[in-house]
Amino acid sequence: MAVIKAENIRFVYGTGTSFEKTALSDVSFEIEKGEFIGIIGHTGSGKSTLVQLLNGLLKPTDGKIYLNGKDIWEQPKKIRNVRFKVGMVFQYPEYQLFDETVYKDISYGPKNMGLSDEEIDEKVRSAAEFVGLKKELLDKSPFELSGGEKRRAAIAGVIAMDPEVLILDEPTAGLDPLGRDALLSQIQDYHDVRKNTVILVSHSMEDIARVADRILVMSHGEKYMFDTPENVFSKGRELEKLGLQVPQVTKIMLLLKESGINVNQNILTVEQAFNEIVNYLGS
Amino acid sequence: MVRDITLGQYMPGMSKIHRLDARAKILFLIAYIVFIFVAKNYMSLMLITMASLLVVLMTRVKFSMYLKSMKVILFVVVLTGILNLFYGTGNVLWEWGFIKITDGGINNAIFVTIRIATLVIISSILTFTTSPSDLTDALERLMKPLKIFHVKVHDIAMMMTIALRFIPVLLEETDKIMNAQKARGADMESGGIIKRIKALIPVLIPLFVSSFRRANDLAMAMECRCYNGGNGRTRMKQLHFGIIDLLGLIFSVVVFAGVVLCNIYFGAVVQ
Repeated sequence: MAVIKAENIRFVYGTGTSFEKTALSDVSFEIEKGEFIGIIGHTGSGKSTLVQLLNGLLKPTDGKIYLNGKDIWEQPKKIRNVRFKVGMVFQYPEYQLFDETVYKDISYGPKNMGLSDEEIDEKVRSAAEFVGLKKELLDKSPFELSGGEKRRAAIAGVIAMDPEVLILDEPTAGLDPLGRDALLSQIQDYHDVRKNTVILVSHSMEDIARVADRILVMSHGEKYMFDTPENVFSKGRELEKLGLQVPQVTKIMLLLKESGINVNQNILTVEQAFNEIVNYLGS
Repeated sequence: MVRDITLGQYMPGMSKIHRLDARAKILFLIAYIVFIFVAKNYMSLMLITMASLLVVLMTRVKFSMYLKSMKVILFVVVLTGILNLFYGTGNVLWEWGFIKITDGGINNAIFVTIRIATLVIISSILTFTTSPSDLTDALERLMKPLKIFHVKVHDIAMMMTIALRFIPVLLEETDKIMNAQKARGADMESGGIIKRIKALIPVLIPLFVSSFRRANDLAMAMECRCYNGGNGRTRMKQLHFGIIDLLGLIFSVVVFAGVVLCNIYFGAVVQ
């Protein structure tokens, strides 16, 4: 059964005012348990609105969102439980840190869930481990950490709630290439170990291509495509029209193919490209 | 939630009120506020209220925006109105234990309510029709004489500009942080007052931290552009006192004279 199912959702900002703006129109999709989903789209395509709808921070103007087959707005008073199950890491999450120590900050979510102290301790420590936060940092003030460490601490704060679905909105924005790669691998490890559903929103096609099982392409508030990375990026020309870039290496393969060299264009990483070109030259 | 605050928001437009000199608008506002309290009977109060509403119409800003800014202080207005009902002298109309309502009290209540409402509406006229930069520019000019007393007029005006400029930024930031903490299960909508205040800590601390960060960045950026206060600075936009301001002045003087005449002619109803 699908863990998340969106049915004809529509969302309008500022209903009834002169600032009325439709952010999403008639979006439907299903996400299976344990999938790693990437969401891409240009600025203003409705990505952020969509993910905020999924964990109940916004309420759809029309349409329904189901979590494990249950409408999340069935009992509006219990929407908090949905937010525990669908963990959400916002853009630049380091600006939400507030507590005296990193440990206390990470335990904010589990504490709100009403867990016992032992459970909280266990969850905080395993979450810190997942994001690669050293033990001695847990007793420090979050404001003493470096930028990258702050980001990790903030992500750990959401992972510590052990959500069934983890949503990350541009988690690598503003990190250096090394930090970005490390963070992405950790997210992937988390997905592999916990077998949870992960939804990654990103501008970076490289990031998404590396980790996602399926990619949801958003354009002007509508679902444009929802398919495997190979199928999505093979439509490179269409994506470019939407203002999206395919990964650079895919683009090179696409250009090679278009100039008459018969290589497979469904290539997402440099390694695959290398093998494909070696194969071609060998044949 | 935080987006509903309209008090002090600029609504761009091209109406005659928008085109008035900002300095003139500030002075008119002060004069109108004084005359709202000079009005001592219903005729003069009606005159100044009507004049204010006429100006409201001239701004071409939707009336609902004014009502929204009223909503913020509705509670204060109603409370002071009700309290004033019981403070008054004159003929007792109704009595229950120590509570007395007199005709003087009713007059007081009506006056206080209309006065505060008009006050808010005309203050909104100023902020709705004047861009924040014009407003602080005008304040700087008007406060210039204070330089004799070594008041740092330019610095005060710059601080006000920055403060006004950052209100929407901070509101947006608050919204973001609130959402982030809600996603971690923060419960800000239920519980008693103590619980609600406690629930605000995870929002307020990041907000403070980011305000200081922004202040630091801004100070650095200003210094990089060699900002060193107001000495010798010229302005891109010059303020001009024109014919339209003269018309505004004539209109206001007529209204004020009317208020004074009504006061003398009809006698005072309230103190």
